[in-house]
Amino acid sequence: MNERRERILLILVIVYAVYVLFPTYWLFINSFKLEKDIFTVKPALIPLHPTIHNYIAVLRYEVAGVGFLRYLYNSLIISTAVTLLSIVLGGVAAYGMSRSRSLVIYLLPLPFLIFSLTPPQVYLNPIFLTLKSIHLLDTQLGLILVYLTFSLPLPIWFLSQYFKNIPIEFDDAAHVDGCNLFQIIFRIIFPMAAPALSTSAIFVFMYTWNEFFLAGILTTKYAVTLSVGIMNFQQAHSVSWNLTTAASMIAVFPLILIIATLQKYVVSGLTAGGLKG
Amino acid sequence: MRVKSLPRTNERNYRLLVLPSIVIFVLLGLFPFIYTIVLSFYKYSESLGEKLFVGFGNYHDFFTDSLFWKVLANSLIFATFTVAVEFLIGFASALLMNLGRRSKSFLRVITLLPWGIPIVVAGLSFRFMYNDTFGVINGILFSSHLLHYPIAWIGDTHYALWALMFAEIWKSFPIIAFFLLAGLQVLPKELYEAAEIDGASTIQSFFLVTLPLLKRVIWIALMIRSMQAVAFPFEIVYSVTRGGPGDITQLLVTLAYKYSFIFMELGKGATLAILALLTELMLGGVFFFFLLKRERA
Repeated sequence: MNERRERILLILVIVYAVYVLFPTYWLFINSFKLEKDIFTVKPALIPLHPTIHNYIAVLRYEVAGVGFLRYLYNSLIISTAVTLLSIVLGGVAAYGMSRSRSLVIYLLPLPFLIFSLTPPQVYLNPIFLTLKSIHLLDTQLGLILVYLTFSLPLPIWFLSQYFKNIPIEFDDAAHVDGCNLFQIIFRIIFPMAAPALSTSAIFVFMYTWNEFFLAGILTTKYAVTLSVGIMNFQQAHSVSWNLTTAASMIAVFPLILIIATLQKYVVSGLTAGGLKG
Repeated sequence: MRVKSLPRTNERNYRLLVLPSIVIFVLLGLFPFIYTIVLSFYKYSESLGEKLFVGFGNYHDFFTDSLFWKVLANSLIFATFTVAVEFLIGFASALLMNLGRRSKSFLRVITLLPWGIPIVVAGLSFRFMYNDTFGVINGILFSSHLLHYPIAWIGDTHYALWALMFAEIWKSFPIIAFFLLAGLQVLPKELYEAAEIDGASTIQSFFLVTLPLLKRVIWIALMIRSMQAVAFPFEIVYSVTRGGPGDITQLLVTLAYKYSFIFMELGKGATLAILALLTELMLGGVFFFFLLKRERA
């Protein structure tokens, strides 16, 4: 009886693993296939003639002087900048909100949370017109500002909940020892909240790295990011799946690295919602 | 309540700390929101550079347009169907992750994968698999003799919306899974022991212990996910079906994009964005109403 249960469980786990892994596996496998091996009625589940040609072609891809490496560079710069800015600004704001004696400020994380649940389309048209009028369309700075706005709710909500559980007596002790406000925040509170800061940073980084909608509209050439750049291989007149899959894998690789090594922080961020709610 | 005892940091300093985030939020969140509401009352054509106040004209145009009602229905079908299936798969996933001993970490990492990769990458993978001539789904169905002629999963008006929804389900079920996992982890073990002593089978204790205790978490998860399914499906639609064939898989937020940035009618696009927001709030409101009612009972 027990052995039968174990066996059923094992089968369930295998079916589940196939379901969850297959779409990514399929991109991965096809990124090593020759184009002619992709365009076949009965595609092979493993590459018969493995090649890294697709990756070389993607990295060499260039259109009017702007290439895939530029997209990669843009994504790295923008994601890193937004992550740092939103953790520092959001973290400091979250601290202020968690410590303020004014009810309005104490409750401020709530409007940020609601903001993060609304469609970006509701904000986009004016943002588009504004960035256009101040010539920030298709610039890294423009996208950084917009992403910062959309990513701030996460650290503000997540960290303010965390800071509320750090007794204010720690602030007092540091204050008595002669720390000023910024020393209290950066030397006492932030180190104590390191796991929550890591979780927030990971989520903001993944959000900016993966974001497509805003980047697709606010950039056209010089500030194009990876997720938008992948679509270059999906033009109406020329769809090249071998390059699409390779470009996708390049975008996915750092994310797999984050998920595999920082699993604990990612899961704690995802499960926090369920308990707070 | 905090006590006002020590001469702590000045309250004004806390306000200064909050200020930068508030300024950014007002400039790039609140101001655009109000401006979008204003825009929704204008005929604003970016290409022609004309701006004309039309009152509720844009709203009236959509309410008398059969495409709008079709797209609204799509958005509601999309939200209810995907969230319902995500809930079933998510629950199974949460139970597996909660149960597995040796496989615990492995199951969590692979469950994070669909959620963690870019939506467009996931969408393109499905678009690739759905292809009628060289897609792997038709390939497998051919090989196992379940299919004798190719099906254009995303090109056929009968299948396109379903194909799109199954891509979304794969991408988003982990959110519900981890939500429920958190709920499962705090359930008291003693209740299961008591149920076992009383002779309850695993299935009985699931329906009599687990489900009732998780009700609140389940409602909240369904509420948040349904709202998200109205607000954020742009990227999955754009990468899997692009709203096609025709406008068969168009949703409110993708139609808003189409009006604003393909037709360059930013006024009408703003109107649709506001209508999408209202739809999301109404759907969330329904869940919230039931949640409140349950809480009082």
